[in-house]
Amino acid sequence: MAVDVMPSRTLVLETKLAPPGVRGGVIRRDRLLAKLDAGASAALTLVAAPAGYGKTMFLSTWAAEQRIPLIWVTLDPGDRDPVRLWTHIAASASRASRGLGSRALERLAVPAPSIDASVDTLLAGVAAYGDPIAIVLDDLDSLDRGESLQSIRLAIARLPGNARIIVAARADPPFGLARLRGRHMLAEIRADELAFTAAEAREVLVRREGIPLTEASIDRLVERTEGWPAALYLSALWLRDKESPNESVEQFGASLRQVSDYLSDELVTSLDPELENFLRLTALLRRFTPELCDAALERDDSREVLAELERSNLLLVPLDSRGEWFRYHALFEELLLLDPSGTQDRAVVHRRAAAWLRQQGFVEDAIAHAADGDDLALAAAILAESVLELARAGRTGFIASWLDRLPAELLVAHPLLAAGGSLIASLIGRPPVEVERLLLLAERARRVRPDDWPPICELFAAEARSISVENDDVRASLHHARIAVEVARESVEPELGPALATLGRALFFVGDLEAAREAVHEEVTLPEAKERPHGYVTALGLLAAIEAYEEHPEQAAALAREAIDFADDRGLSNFWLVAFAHIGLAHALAQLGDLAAAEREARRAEVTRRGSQLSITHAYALLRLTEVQISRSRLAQARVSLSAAEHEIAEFTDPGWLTSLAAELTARLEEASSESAGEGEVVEAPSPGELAVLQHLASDLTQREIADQLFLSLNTVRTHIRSIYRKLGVSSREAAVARADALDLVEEVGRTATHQGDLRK
Amino acid sequence: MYTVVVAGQLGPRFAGAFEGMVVTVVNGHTEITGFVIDRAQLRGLLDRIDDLGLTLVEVRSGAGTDAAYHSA
Repeated sequence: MAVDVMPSRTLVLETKLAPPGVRGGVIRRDRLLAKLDAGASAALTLVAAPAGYGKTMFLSTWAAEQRIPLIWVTLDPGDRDPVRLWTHIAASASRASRGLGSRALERLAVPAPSIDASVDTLLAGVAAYGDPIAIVLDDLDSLDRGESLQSIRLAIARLPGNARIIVAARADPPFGLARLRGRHMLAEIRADELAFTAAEAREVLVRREGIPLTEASIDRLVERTEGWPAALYLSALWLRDKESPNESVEQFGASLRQVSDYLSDELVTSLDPELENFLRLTALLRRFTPELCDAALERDDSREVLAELERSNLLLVPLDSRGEWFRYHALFEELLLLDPSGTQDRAVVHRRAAAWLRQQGFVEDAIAHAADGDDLALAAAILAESVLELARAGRTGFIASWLDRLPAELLVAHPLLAAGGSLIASLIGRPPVEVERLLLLAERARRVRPDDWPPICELFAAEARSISVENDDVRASLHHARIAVEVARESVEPELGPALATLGRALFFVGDLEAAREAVHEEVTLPEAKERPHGYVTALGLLAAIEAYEEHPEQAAALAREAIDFADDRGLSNFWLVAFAHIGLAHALAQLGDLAAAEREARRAEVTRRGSQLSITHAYALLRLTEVQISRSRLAQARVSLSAAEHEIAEFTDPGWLTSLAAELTARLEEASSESAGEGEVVEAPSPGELAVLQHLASDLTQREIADQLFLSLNTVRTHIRSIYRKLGVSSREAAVARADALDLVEEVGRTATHQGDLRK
Repeated sequence: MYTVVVAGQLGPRFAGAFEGMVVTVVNGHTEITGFVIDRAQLRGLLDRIDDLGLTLVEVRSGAGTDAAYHSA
């Protein structure tokens, strides 16, 4: 079953990272080049025109003459996966300036719920670079509407001053262009500017191609095509070998047929059938080298055929500077693919292409071609081969999307996909039913072919089950975690770390702290613990929580901070597994007497693990928050947190010792309530809106700025302030702030950093 | 049921270019008519027209002209 394959080259496709070579026949558009240069002061330059207007050629020409470094990426539908997109952008950045993208690449290799941290890391690198630099993204439409497109919008908003972004697209992207235009942050080059004038058409057809056309013919051509460059290049090819080109143009002018259709028909029918067949079948490959063509079409002369095509026309586009990879011009490719004949050939071509690409290590393309060739079994086989590598490179989104597409039987046939898939699903927070579905398939695989069930599958399935079921029955979770560790110790040592972390967590919630400590201690002292960042962060955070529980606050705080820093470093700050570190820190800070900070950390933990599904970690975070709030005498808030925690715990079959913790806190809350009743002055509580304004009064913001921040009118803010003064019995801003602090109404005075602000250091 | 009209006459090669839709030539333009389940499908159709380098003239709900409906 093992196929001799090269290590996967999916991870970075070099061909995407440089503009295609500039073609000899391409016309210079000096005025437009100057316009593009002039747009350097705008954050975004948009080159927007339909297919065939020469956007790529234009940008390539410009790129070739640039002295500033360029971060070029040619986008394709695979970049809808934001990890893949930014991996390529970061890789391209490193080629533009050594090391520029390396921090971002490190972050990208670790799965995280959002791409923002990696984008920020890359942009920070760009800012640090300091000198002018441009990011060029060709073919933005490939991205469709999704996370990737949004991430680019984010990048535009956060772009450092020394950088500019240039995008080429067929349609205006949803980047808030009107607003950018209004702020002079947008430069545009559109279809009407890219269209050819009669003079330019003459340059191409008469001067370069040597076609003896009259002025009238040229005018007719330009009129008929509306200056559409692709059509004019096609007509050059069509007219090249005609005996009386001017007559042909007359006929063309009279025809009502769609321009591109007419021209490509005329062109293709003039070729010999062999060449036509070659074009039709190689178009299926999308991106190809001569070797790939040979393999897919079972011939040995593709190199010569392509060389001839390249020499004699502009429909073959080189994708890299070494002239290895090509594609057909997008429009021509579409038209070639329309030919309905020979559907059988097509599937065969796709499959042969898949085999060759797999051999060469182009895993993602291989899988896509296998699917296009209606051979999902092949696609599954290729995916199974490379799933571990893809997972470690952070391509969990890609894996998950293929798992969705593959039918159940194929997942059963490749247990690693089912088992590994279930673990990925549980880690990235897919709904329990999905995790369950994959686990059932894994189970079926094990039963049907027990000899084909390697230990790593056993391990992944056990881990997935443990993580999935911890949000219902901690004892069951412990059971599976123990199995996972056993299997790892015996046969899959590299994966022992994460298994121990999962075991530690289960032991913690069951209440066996001694054993939990042992497990996580072993995890963090494994020599390669840091190679599995998720496991390491979990274990370290758990250790902090345990130390805090055993009343060693300094140690706990130190461990927690280490875990948080590590997570931050690897772009895992928002990942739910970090919640433990925040819980541990909250607990420790409370013991050390810094209650305000403790509450902040507890809230942070709660938010990190908040989601639509039950979570024992979330419930624990809420309980710790309750405890801090009781200590701060914020009894109303404590009641709310406790109630939320109890509601969540009630849904569990077995929530371990959280039940007794909740009971303990209930008792303390009762006590505190009866103590504080009747004590102190009754202050009419400010409303939530007033509290928000009060919070900002502690800062240096003017009233107008506060209004902006809170999206309120200035009047509303003033009304709130008047009300606050009345309720607090004060008459000045300073007095209001002092009183608020004394009454503990606001977060630590002077620190109005938002949640977001905390993350961005 | 939607009818999308594009500029110019499309040759026979486009007959199968739009899955499940009927392609006919009417008055120098081409009408693409068929059932569109939802907006996403309509967007997909419009994107396809874009990909093929065609010029959109009109989108209307309802069947095409009578003439269009009987040929194919």
